[in-house]
Amino acid sequence: MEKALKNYQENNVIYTNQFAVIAFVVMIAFKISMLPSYLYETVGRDAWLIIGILLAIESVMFFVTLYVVKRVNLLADNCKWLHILDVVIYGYAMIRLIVLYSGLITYTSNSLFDQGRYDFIILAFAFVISYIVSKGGNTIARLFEIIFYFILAILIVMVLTPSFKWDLSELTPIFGGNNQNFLGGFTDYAVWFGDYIPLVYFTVKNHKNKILNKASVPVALIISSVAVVLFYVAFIAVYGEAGSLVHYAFNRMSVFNTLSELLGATNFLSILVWMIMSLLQIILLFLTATNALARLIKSKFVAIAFNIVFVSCVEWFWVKKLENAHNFAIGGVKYFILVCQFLIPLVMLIYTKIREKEKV
Amino acid sequence: MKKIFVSKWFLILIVCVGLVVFNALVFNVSVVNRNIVVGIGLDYENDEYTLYTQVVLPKNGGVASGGGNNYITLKANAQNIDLAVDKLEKEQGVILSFAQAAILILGKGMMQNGDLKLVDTFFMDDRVHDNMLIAMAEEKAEDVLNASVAAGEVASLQLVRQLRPTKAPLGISAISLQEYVRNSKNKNKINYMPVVKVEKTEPSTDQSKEEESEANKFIINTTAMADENGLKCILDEEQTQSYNLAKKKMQDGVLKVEGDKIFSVHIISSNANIDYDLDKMECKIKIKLKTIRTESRQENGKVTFNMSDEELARLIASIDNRLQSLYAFGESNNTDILNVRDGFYKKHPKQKEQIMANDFTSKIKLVVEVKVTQV
Repeated sequence: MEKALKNYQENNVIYTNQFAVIAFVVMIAFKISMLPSYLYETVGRDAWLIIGILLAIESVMFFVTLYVVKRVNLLADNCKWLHILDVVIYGYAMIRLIVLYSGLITYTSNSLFDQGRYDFIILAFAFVISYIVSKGGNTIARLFEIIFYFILAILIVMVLTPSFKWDLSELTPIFGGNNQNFLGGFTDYAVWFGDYIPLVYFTVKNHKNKILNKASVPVALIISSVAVVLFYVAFIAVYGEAGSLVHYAFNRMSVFNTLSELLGATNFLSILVWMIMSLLQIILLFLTATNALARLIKSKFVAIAFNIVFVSCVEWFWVKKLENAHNFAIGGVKYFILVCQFLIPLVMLIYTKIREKEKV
Repeated sequence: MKKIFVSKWFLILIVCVGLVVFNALVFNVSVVNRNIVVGIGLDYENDEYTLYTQVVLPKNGGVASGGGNNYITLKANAQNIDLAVDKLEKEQGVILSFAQAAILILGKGMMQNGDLKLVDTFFMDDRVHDNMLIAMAEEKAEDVLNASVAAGEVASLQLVRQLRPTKAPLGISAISLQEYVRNSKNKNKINYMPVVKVEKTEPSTDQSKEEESEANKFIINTTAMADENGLKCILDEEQTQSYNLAKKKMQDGVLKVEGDKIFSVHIISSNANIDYDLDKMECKIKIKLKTIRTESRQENGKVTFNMSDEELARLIASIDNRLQSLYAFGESNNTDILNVRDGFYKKHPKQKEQIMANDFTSKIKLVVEVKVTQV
């Protein structure tokens, strides 16, 4: 068992370009589904500015994480004090997993199928997620890398073929709306942010290609952030004050994507790309929870089995509806998540500095 | 034993079993037990809503085998849409599928006295597409859906064809569910939608073959203006054209210029931009037109499709007059047809009190600037 765990720990080494690809996907996936509607409800037409600021903060934190994971291998580090961090990361990953996973399950059962069976869909995902996670971080990073080109191709098609009637005046007056809760906009949806935390269990190696090594992460973060902000701009211009009624924004927006009158809408592409991106992010979060638990109980198999049963049961018997997940996310847990998002990288940064000093 | 569980054959077996039982994941209803809705109608009378659904009844072999389809219109009365849908489904023993619904027709009674917020029910239903068109029936939605149009065609699809041609024409103010709901949520905005009039016409050759004595055609050249409380006024054909020129991007249509010598121009494209100046209390509509004269004329012994300078001046003056008249019509109906109030508010949010005053729009001077490019 110890040998298996050792292999698993060594299976988390990825290259800088793979880190960039993961960052690109997770920066977009869940931010273009339910979040636009929630954020519009809270801050109104200025949602695109708030998401822009939040993504800028998120991008900076990705660089902090990159700095850390280039220097330490948390998964293989046996320092006992780090187990406190494992407990915190486990709680963090599970909370995010419960909320975001419910979005994927609800979308599959309600939108993809007509009255799809919630329980069977959980069961189907459970097999896929646990199997992929059992293969380790390295395989997951490779999966991100393989699918990235497919995602990019679809996103380009979506960007090039919109035919919606937007009204850019819906974005004005900037900061002039009624009942806008800006503080709420920054704090209420913390569960949808902090996508860099799952990467602390990876170890990043430099790629042979120096340009790719230096430019891949900044380019990925800039492109994904700009793409998300532009998506919010288009979303608000298309739906205006009806934005808060629009669930699964990416799906609704893509109805207006047409290649030609003959071929019709290309929304099936958006469904494909979102399903893949969201599933990859769920897998990454599940891997984080598994890594944290495996470090505590010293068994990867038990960690995977316990986590998948626990998460599936929570979704099946407790969450049931997207509204419940939403209410859970904007409740007290958001403060825990918010603190974790800054505390974990900070603690890791301090730990890295201490380790580096010890080496000297 | 352990080897079996990690072998590829075990994985293949799992996938095969998964594929077979995958059917259990979804609530599958055979197409026979589904009614595929292509058009929806909504009327309101005596405190009750009537929902009409025009549905496809696939024939054996379908269209590809030359079978064609039949359509029927189902109706149910209820206090709201969900109850009506439930009633229809129970009466017919089917599931209504709204994913193919292409148009929603609101009856005049619905527009005048019904609760227009019910339209949100369709918007919030994930199965209904946001690009579904909305139109108002001149009288009842039922009349429109039951109209006998060209053989082999059904009213809903014929309407969609007329409302959504390849190029946006001058005389039709088509609107989608997405745009309608967006506008309706903004209390400063007046919404618009095309009005469908059913007229009798001669049966087509195909219809005669099927021994149909009556046939109908749709006339769509007027526009209904509505706010959250319901119908405010109806724009006639000329006002609809003017409205489209001021508010939309056009790619087709013919504009007639009245005067001693009537002439007309074909609009190749038009683009409008509205500027709001609160200091001058001025609303400036800048229209860029790309046109060609519909009929040729002689100039210096040569045939040309360009307008003369005098005709160009008349065209510009005509557009100015039309828009001034449209604005005045709105004022007389206490309706901010061009959404001037919303435009001023978005540009000057701090002067909200002044802009929201009842007499604000009457104090505004409308300035029209037209730039014409002749092709």
